[in-house]
Amino acid sequence: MIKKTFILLLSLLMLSSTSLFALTGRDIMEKVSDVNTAESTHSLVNLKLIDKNNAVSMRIIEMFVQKNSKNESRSLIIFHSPASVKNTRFLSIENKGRDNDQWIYLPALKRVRRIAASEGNKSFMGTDLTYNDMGARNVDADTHTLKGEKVLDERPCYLVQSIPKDLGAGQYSRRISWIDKERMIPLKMEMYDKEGKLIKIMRMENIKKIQGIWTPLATSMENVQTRHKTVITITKLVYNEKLPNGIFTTRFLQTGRL
Amino acid sequence: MNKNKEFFLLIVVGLLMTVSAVLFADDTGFTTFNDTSAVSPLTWSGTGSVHTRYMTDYDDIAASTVILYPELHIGLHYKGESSGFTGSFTLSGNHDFTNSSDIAEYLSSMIDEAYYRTFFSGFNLSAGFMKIVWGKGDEIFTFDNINAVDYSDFMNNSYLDRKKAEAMIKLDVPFGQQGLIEALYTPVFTPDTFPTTGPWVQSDYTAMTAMGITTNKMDTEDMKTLSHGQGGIHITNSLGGVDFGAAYEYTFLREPVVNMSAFMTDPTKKIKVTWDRLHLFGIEAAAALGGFNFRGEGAYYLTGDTAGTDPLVHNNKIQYLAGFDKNIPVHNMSINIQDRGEIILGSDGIKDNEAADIEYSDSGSYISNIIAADLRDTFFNDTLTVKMSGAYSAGSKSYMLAPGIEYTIKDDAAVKIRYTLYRGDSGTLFGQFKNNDMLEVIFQYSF
Repeated sequence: MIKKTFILLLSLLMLSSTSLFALTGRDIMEKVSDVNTAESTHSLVNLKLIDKNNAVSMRIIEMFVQKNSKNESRSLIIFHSPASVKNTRFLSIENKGRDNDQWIYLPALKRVRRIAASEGNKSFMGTDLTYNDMGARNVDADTHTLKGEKVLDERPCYLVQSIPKDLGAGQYSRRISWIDKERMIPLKMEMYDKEGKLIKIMRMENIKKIQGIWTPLATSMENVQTRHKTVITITKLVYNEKLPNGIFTTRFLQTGRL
Repeated sequence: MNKNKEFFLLIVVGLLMTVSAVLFADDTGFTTFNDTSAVSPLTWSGTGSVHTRYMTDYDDIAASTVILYPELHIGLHYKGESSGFTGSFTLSGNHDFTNSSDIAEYLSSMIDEAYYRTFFSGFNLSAGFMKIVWGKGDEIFTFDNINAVDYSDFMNNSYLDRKKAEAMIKLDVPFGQQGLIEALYTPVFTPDTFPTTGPWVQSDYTAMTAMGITTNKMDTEDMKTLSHGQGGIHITNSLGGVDFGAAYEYTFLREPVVNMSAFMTDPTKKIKVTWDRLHLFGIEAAAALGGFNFRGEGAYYLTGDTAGTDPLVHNNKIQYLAGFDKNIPVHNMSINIQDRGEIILGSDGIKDNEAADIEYSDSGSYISNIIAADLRDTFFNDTLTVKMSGAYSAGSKSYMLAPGIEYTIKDDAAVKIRYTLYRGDSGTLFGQFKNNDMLEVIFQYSF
């Protein structure tokens, strides 16, 4: 009886260790993608832009993100400051199988304008993030390879390299992510430009559990080539708020009201 | 008959409101972090700017005229629970106060917009003085005809700033995921306004003044009567990565009919200025394909002279717009190119009528195209924009070029520098302003 139990336990251990060792880069990135189980996220975000001379400028945005039944995400960003861009609104709708739909409303023109996927590589509001950085990226848009394990800030991490399957379409030639093994969230990411040179380093900090979800409340993105840095701080956050469908429409972009 | 048509429009608007109220569920319970009780429902914003224009005198640069003026734009927004009010006005020193009627006109045009919007279950209703933009073009359109245009400084203002607000009632009815039906009614039609003094007087007016014709010799149709109302409906949607739409406007052609026949035989008689009734049909589409943002529009102008034989009624015409913008894989460069064309139909009738026809062209061509382009790059995290804008009129072989830079000194303070030059024969679209080359420097603060 004891022998049988021992064999069963051993088998279970072997099975579990086999599945752990067999964890691929894609498996890890899928887990990262799934770690945020919230159906919706509503946040108020400060963007602090710091140039190479340490001159600082601020932006405040409000973000709404919602997943639909197909796990496709829709996001709306409203710009609150500075005054020159106040009430500019940006809508991104993820489409599995084709390019995401993206529109921007510019109050000075009273126009909603569609943005092509290639424009997603443009700077978002002068920050070090691009429009594509702000939107969701399909796990299968990249080939992920587990490159090993490392410790970062005393936390064991998976080191995963992600290379776009369509090298012409992506803005980076590759990304290397440090994924916290326990919390399955990235702590650091290095982005390399089309020439293969390191261009940006992203770091997630002040990670707290909000409504049961591990959340980095501060993120910095530094462009090492221009020595410009953006610090993103979440000042308000609500998960699973009931967001009306009407806000993820071009109509809402135009009026700012349902 | 006209009154019947306007009554019909009101019924259509009423029906849309009733149907939408039944069809659509209420989307309540949505607030932004800015909607808390600690934040006032009344917000305001604005820009203050100082403009310096150097009208270039190439023969003696030191003698170039300098025009300096301040401008203040204030916007007020009140956000109620289920309603809101938007008002905005502009105080500008760039106005010629030669006579009292100009001052009266200026005061009435100070208010850019003033309207309220009420939010019902499934539809919104707006009323007041509004500017609307219909179509997919980028500052160039083919069927955006409801608002009047102020040409007093039109080469230097943005498309929206050139527009004059029109009194209207407007209904917005959403449908599906992205669809929207807009229906509007304006009690009157406001004609475009053209400067009679200053550097931007158009060559047609200059030619008339050379003949001794001034505005007091014109008998201008009163457009502020019930029979001169406008109505329009605009439907837009988005499907499979394509934004598309269609519009119908019961309006007037913006080009006036200037009937000089009586005046030419008897100079004591007045010149009649009227506007042609117009049924305007438009279609539009925009799509992002292969890194290009394509956009297109088409419009059919159905006037009362389908045969093209009436010399005092404008012929039917077609306008089309095709264009794209695209990022260039060099630094942050992007390019935007658009072509707007116009074909006047029934031109044989115009040729038969010869100079008696209001649309008669000495060149014999009734097809025209304007190509507009904008090439720009940004530097230092979008704080500096360097751009070259231009437009070419293919029919008249005239063009304008405007290289410029915009620099954000701090988030809310910016400086804009632009040099604009015009070339072409006198009397052509851009050539008529060939003495208006200028350098403009604007210091602007937003708050």
